[in-house]
Amino acid sequence: MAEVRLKNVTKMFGDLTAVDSANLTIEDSEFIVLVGPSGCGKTTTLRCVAGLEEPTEGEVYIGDRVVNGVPPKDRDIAMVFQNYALYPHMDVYNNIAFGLKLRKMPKDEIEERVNRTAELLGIHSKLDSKPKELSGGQRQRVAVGRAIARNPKVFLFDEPLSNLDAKLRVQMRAELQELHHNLETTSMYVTHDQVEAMTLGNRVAVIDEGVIQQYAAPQEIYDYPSNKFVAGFIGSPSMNFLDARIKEEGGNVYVEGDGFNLLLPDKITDPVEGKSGKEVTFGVRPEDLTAEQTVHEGDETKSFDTHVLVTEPLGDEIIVHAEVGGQEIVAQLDPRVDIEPHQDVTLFADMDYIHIFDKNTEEAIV
Amino acid sequence: MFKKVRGSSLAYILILPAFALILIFTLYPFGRALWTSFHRINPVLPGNPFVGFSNYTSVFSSYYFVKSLRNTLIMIGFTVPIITIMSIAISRLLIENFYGRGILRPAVLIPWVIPSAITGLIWQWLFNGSYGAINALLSRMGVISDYIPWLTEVLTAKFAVMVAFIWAQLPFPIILMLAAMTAIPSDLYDAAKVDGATAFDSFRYITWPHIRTMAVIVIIYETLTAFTSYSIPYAMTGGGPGTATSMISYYIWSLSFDQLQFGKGAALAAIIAGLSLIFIFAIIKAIPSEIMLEEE
Repeated sequence: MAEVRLKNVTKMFGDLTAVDSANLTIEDSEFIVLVGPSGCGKTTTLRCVAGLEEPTEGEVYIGDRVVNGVPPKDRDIAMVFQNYALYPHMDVYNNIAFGLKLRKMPKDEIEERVNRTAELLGIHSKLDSKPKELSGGQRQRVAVGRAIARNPKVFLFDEPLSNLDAKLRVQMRAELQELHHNLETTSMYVTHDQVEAMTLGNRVAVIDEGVIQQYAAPQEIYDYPSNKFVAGFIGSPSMNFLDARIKEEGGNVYVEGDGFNLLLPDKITDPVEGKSGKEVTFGVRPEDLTAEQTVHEGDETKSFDTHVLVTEPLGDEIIVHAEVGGQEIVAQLDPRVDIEPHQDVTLFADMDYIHIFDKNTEEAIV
Repeated sequence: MFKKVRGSSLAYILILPAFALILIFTLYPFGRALWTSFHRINPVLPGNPFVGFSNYTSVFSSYYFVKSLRNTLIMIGFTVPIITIMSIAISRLLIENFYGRGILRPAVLIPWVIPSAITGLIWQWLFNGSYGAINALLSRMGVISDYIPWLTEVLTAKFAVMVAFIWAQLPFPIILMLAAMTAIPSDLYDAAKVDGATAFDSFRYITWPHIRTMAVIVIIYETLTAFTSYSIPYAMTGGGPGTATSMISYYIWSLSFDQLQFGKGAALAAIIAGLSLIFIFAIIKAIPSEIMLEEE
């Protein structure tokens, strides 16, 4: 097991910068997730650690060793690929044993390791099957098994669950979690699925356009996104963003926009004090909005008067798409509230969990 | 009207045009050739009497048949393995992403678009004993002191014809191999690298299993092509010196259109068709069944 460290890693493909001076430390036995939209550079980052790509600049450390220029086989890593990458002409046994054979491991030890791995992953009865005879979930297990059997210092996962159907994905996600709990091998996991990122990662690195936007524990990323991109990427449905400006009046600080005028709680006013008139982006998550039947006096400083456009009842919740001052706002509400399309509804924001971003830099202010 | 035609009758109607073409241009000529091989056909004599197997026996017992069959088999024995191996090697190089690949890939196809008689003439010129480019090149490089009469010595003429044949034949197998190699997911090579495979291991465990079915197809196709090769040797050497480069397909032409013995020519053609079938079955038999049964 080992720590993995990326120091100012940049990867260019011609003029295109795929990874832009990435700095990342994965502690020994930590499970971290790289998440971002497709083409953001997360897979390239992983491939730089694997040795399948060489960084244009910067160093990759595995343990105390700089591994730039070291071929993948000598980095003591194992990788699980999106399309499983099982050798189609070998049976499951040989797929798992291949790396061990190439390392000239004694035959009885190979057998022991393959059997132990197959037992662990519940694919023992499939050892004689060819990959094409297996289901998607079984193939994925073999791919994971091939990585485990080698007992490497670092696991690298490149979107390993994205080819599975939704139900299987949830199951495999839990299995991977348990596996990491048992093996405690340092792991890097690439995905575009924020749910996988949140559930699997000890820490999550959100990447966009080759740049690591934020690297923190999942809850911290959810609660305190460092910029508008992270705020919009993590969470489903996405955070609402409304054009607004700061207003100071009678010792209070408000965030004001078309159709709303919200009073900021005292504890979060510090960063915006004295910035009256500043154009900002106001952010509130759909799950931090509620619809109250009765409106009290003073409530207008924490509520939106909206006109409902569409409702999506999901059973355990209802997603309401509404309009406030010409801007769209989405709310995730209790399914038992009675809301119909084309109705006017007052939505309340939980003001303890609101976000304010600089309109130009998109960095978080509050 | 179409509503009335359903199920299998519609299917038969739809394959009718294709079947008609095969009937007219393949089955009828083949049947006609078979018929011809059992008759004596002479354009200046009346009647086409049935002669049984006498055309066959006379072809089999002719010195020229044995000689040209031997030449053809030697040609197959050398060129087919070389073409197969070279097409794999060249495709393996062309699949790499290197500077100039965009020019080199189409350039490989050039021999394919040159009519084989022209190919023969080009190589005849290159191998020419007095003014050929190959002699000029070799002598300037100091490899030879005297010009070699490539096309008029038995061994060198055989060699020259094979070189020209290989050159002309390579493009198609290269395309087949490139197609097979392009279809291999790159993930597999990445996985193999991580697993610790060398370039040779990658070829042996990933590339080869994916292209071996195609290799069998190339071997069969090239065997048949070499078996019926005619224009390149004829354009380069006219079958000479002596009978050194006379191929069996040239013998068909010579019997039929030079000596106007259509019956014997047809008998020889039938013999070649039979031998070709035997070749194909022998090749398929010689190959482990798992390769032929693979879908991937």
